[in-house]
Amino acid sequence: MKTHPPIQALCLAVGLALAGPAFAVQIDFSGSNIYMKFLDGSHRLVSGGSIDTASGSDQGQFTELELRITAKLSRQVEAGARVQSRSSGAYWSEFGFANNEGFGGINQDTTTNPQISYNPNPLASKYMKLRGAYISLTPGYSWLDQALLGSSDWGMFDPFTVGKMRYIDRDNINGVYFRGPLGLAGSSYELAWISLAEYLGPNFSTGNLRKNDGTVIGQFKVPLAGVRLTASLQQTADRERVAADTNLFDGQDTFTRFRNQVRSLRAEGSPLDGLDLRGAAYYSSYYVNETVQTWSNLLGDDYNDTAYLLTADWSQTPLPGFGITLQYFDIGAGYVSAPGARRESDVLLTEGSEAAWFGWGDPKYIGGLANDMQQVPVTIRDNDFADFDEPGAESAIGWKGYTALLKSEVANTPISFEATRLDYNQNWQNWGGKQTVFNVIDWAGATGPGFKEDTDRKTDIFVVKVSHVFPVAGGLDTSAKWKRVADEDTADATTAADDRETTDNGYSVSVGNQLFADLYGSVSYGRYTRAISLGPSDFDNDKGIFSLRFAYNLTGLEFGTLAQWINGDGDPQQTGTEMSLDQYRLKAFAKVIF
Amino acid sequence: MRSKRSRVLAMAVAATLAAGNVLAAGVEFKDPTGDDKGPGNYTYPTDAVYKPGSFDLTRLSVTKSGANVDFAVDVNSNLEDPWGMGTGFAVQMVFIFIKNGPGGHTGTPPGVNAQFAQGHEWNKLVVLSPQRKARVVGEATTKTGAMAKDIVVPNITRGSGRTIRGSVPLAELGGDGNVDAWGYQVVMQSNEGFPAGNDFLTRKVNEYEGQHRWGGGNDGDCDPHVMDVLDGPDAKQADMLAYECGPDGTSVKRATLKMIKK
Repeated sequence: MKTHPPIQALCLAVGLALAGPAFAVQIDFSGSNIYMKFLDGSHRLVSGGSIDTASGSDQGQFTELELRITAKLSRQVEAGARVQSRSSGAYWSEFGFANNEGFGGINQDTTTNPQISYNPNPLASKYMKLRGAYISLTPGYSWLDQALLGSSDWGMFDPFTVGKMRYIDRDNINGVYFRGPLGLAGSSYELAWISLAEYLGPNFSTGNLRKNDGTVIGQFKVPLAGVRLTASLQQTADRERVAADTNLFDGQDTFTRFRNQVRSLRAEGSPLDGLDLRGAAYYSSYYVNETVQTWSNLLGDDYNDTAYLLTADWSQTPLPGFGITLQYFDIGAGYVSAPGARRESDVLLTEGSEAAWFGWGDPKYIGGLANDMQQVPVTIRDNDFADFDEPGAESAIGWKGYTALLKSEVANTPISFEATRLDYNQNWQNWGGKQTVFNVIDWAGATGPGFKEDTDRKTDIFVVKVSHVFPVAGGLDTSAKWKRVADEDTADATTAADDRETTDNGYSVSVGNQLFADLYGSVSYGRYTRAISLGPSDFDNDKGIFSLRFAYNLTGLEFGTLAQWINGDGDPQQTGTEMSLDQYRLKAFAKVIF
Repeated sequence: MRSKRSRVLAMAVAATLAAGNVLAAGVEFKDPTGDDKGPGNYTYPTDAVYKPGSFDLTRLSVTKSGANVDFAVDVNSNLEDPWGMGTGFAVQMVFIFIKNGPGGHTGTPPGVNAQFAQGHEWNKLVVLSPQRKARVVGEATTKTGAMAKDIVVPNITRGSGRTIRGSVPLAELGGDGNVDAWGYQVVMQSNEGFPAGNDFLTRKVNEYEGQHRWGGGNDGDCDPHVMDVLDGPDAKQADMLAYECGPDGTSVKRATLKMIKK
């Protein structure tokens, strides 16, 4: 019999490879899923990009696949990743081949230029993308508990410093992270270098030399006499090549395009059972090189500012079941943390503005948002690629004031009452003499930081919520809410023509029930008024929102839907002519997790 | 004028809130604060959503209310809903084991990694989870085997203030209906929407804490994935949650829980 040594060697190699390593590698695919989304609405609009409310769609369906992989290679090494089809613009109606699935193609009409590809839209192609890849090391050294390389949402840091953000995915930002103990029991250090996303700098850019730009942060936690202390120091730096230095033989010099430092100190403690005190102080410094960057979405000129939060949470008052939380906050108009939290965090106790009026004036948002607003410590909130059933984010930059939140329970009925008085560090005339710093992003709309030439604004927020589960029909889940937001801004002190008052009043009631084992349903109705007074003109808006929600679960399947019908009258674009408001919108999703 | 009206409204609401809490009669157990460390050395995950004290069980209340039994569990931190579960809480999951008859289960749902002592077997398990009931029931059916028929999930579970509560029909719990005389044990776990392997919506404990994993335990499944349990005069948490692992992460001695009775 003739032998083939090369084939034997190959077989041996394959056999060894198949035999695997000596230790048992655990590979886990749990959490992998297929997600389908369905939109319908009376606008009959589709966007050129992603199928979501913010992108301008209220029609269409798409499917995404996500494979989650976690491999435990040894006691010391774990790795993981998600492989996800990014097809949020691939409508079912495209039938799987329309427009070459968004990759583009060659124009078959030879009478025109045959080389021009048509409609290359990556969002319409069902291609798979790598997401969330990480390597986690736990080597067991006395000085190092964990090292992480790669992707994270960086939720281990304070939202005012390095925070969670979402631009479709929550873990797009990569970096290197180390954590270990310090000398004192219970104390720890965390050190990280986090790659700077290329849109997080001035002018939504980090310049030409950008692949190594990043944020270095150190965070230190020390328990001291019953107080948990956390201190952090970070620097974000954007370096650029010196254009005149082109000699690669001795390297190229660099200079700073922008630099942002943040220092923070937080303390938490419980001096009494049921009384928690928390305080945080932040100091930011910002430098931008105006010789290369004349416009900035962060700040227009160098500036230092502070932010403070003080919270007292007294849950065990002498009155049984009665608790009160007080919060004082003062966030400087010029407070900047370029990698601070966007959309994914809510840094203030207050519920903030009325979500039902989110985006008012834009026909996409006749019914606003169906979820409460979140306050974020940055000027750019990232409300893109979101649907109407998601929470919106509003910038808390420049906010100062206090919130009192009272909670009680009477006959198994939780009741809460919020009162917030908002003042603004942007209250100035003629930019407070700092036009070069703040005259940058007044375009940011109602949820933006509100930088204007003349401002004298204050806002009062009151919210009452009541909920009760009635023991009938397996439990009737009822809730009611009343909210008032009164905002006034006398703007230019020398004229009344620009004085603006906006008063939002609204209430909603909701009833839900587990209709049968697999299906939960709820119905709610809200009535909302917005009265705007602008100089001599008044604009009244009034709408009702009827909502129907269903959540259907089978083992491994989640299906959810929210349908809303909005009716009312108003003048959303402040033309002086009232119009009828009428919209139907629906979002549904199905998710199978395996 | 506007601010006067606002003040009057604020005072009226505050007076209503201060009117106090009407406590119904029922059995109540207190648990010490500061023991949310599992067997003694567990540490919280590093993500900021896991607030200190948020897994520190402080009270279990069980009240018979007509044909239903109301369960309320207090923790040592205000509840928050950072993941938008819509239930008033998000990171916690509570297992309430009930002994109200002979026999029962000594095992616990996968992912808890504990057992019950002989004579302390559980007959029913009430799960207070921020997940929808159907999801919890589905996971129970798929992953808990013979235990599934004895796992009871309230139609509606809600968190408010520091209290997680749910109500289930007395008929689903069986027993003699005398809730005051039943034995109880509570396990504080964390809601994991993407549980590993066969785990029953539970969050893992590892040797080192991670962003969404507890630390202080073992990377295997020999350690109890339990942050806090109900302490009793003859059942101390440190004793019940004591465990021993083999070098390969297999269990040598399981954490062994006991029922607590009034």
